[in-house]
Amino acid sequence: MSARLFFAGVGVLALLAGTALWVGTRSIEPPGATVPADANPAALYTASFSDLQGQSRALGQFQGKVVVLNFWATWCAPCREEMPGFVKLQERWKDRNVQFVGIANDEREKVRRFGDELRINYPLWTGGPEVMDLSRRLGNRLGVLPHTVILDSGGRVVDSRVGVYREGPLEERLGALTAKRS
Amino acid sequence: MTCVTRAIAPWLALATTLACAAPIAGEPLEPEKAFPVTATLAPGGIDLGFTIADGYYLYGDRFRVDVVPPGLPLGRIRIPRGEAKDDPFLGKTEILRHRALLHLPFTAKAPPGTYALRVTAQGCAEDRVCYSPFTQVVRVSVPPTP
Repeated sequence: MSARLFFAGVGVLALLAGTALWVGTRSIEPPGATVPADANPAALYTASFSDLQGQSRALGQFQGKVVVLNFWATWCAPCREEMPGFVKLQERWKDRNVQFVGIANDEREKVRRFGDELRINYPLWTGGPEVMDLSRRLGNRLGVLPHTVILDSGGRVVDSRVGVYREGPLEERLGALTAKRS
Repeated sequence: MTCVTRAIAPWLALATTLACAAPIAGEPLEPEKAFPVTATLAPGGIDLGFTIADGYYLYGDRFRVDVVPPGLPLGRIRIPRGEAKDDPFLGKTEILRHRALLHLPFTAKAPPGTYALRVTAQGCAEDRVCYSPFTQVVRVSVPPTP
């Protein structure tokens, strides 16, 4: 009897601990992440930012590719946590029509230093308050970072997620997207 | 039944503890709910009291206050000592958890009136997301002195 109760206790513990672990580690997905009315491909492709040399850049240069657009900041610890995974994915997916881009409302010099330290292998662009305006319009209701948006090759928003986007789930998403194309 | 309850109770207690220790899940709180602020007239100035939700923190060096209409003679904001955080990129910084009482000292006699304070802060939900600078507006009335 007591052995049965012991195992029942272990079972309850395992169930609750497992639930706690699952709840605590899953990605934060904004319920029904909204795609704004003005987030049409043309508007996204013409939004202008600055690269680390101060040159004006727009997402339109990646038209025809799947674009992983990551809103981040140098002061945002969770952003820095996910970026090494993006570096690996950019390397693995560079020949499969996938382009990562990081956009920050931050000082260019800080962003440059950060990019060097973490050996970021995709473009890091900067902008002013319009960066967070765009992020909000792409479903980031609370204006939090990190925020990652995936655009398909036609510039349509197919994913919008706040919180750390881990390498595994993101790679799965890219696989599904690129498989759909072929 | 009592025997069963008694046997399982410690396990349930332990499991509950584990569940409570897990990171808070779900959508992050609105900044106004994660970091609500109040303003109170205090001797020699204005106190700004932040109540910070569990699992959230504010950066100690990222506060700004603007007053509308201008005219309140305010000195430099006094920020309480926080918890030291050694950030790999930002270096040593201080963060504030749970409750934080900031003080805005008057540098001269404050003209009577009602003022709106636009309080801007920056913080994070631990290991999950960080909030871009957000502003809350609080009001404070300075009564006429007899």
